[in-house]
Amino acid sequence: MMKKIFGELINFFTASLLIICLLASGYLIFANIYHTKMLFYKYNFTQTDIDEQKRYVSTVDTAIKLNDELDFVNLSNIDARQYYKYITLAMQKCLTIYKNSKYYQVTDGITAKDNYDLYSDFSKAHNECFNYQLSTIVDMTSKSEYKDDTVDSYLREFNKTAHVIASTTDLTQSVLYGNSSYQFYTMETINTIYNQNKSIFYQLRTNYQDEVDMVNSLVTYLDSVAKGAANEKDS
Amino acid sequence: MKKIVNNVLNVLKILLLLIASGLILYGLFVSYGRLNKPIIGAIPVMLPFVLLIVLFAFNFICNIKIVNKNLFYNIATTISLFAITYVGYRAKFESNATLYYRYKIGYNPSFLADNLGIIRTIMYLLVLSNILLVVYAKFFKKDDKKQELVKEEKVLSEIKESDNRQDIEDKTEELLLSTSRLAVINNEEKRIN
Repeated sequence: MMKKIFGELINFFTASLLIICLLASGYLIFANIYHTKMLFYKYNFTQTDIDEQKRYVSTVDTAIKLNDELDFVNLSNIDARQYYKYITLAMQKCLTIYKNSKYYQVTDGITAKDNYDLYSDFSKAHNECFNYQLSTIVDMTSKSEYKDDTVDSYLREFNKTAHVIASTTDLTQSVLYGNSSYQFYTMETINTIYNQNKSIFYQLRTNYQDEVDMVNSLVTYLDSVAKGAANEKDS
Repeated sequence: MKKIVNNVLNVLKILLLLIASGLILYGLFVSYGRLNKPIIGAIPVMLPFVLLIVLFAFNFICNIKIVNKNLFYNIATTISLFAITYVGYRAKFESNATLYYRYKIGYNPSFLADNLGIIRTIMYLLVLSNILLVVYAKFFKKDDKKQELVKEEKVLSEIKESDNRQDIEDKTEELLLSTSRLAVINNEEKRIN
């Protein structure tokens, strides 16, 4: 009798163990099903993103073309000319790096892996660009004195914008690399990074546009100064 | 139908066990290698896998019917090993995880580490279930057939020795009952086999 009871108890216990096994396996499978979506997830740039890209690339082209067309020799203000030359060279280099960045060559859907690569590439390009710009400005302002208040104010504005852009680049870096508590990025995290970076990139593009506008204004101003000086000479 | 399903599950569980063991062992090699830890430290993790391989081999060689033909045990084992294989596969091939590229090791050791506790628990439970089934079969399961045969022999010998007609009739009836019980047991065995 006791033997029979003991036997049944063992049977029951074995069945319980197997049920626990099944529940644990079910947890392993179903807890990971959401993450399995990552295997097949693909980002798609919207038409707005692509249009933005195209608009920016044409702005870059205009800035570079403007630089090529400007005749340095006719500017009477030597220091202004020198400052402009420094600015545009730095600007040109930055814009070229930016334009060559893979991010601006993407026109189709990308996987999360591509997205990661693109942001890495883009933020490295920014880092390089702004380090160059900032060092150029520091170099320039330490070597010569401002002879013209207007140029001076443009340079100060340029300096401010460069710092803002540099700080947003730092933000991008910290978003991509700084969050060491995420051992395993979930879909939501990658989505958040993408959305955060999207707004940062739009901001960067706006700031770049401000830079381009500033340089254009500077060119117009210097051009008018040169014309004014030439008119004075004629008269 | 039950026999076919059992056979299929028997083959699947062995295959899945070998694949799961390989994937988990690979993960442990990568994880321990990155941390410069000696691989001997992974022995407690691999122990239940080795035990289960040994037990499956034992079941196969000794033809332990209570395990090999136990549908519930086979289903539970197959599902559990499939889940473990899935975790091992994902740790290696989940190329969309940022960590995969961040450390450039082509593997996700933290994902494996997160799930390793559950994996070990499942493996130990399977080993324990297997052992308990074998113990039950060996010490607690009644051998009804043997008992009925012994009883039949005893009744036959009593019939031969008896002179009383009534006694012989009663014992013949008992013998017939025993024979029919034996037929039921034989049919049951055939159904299981």
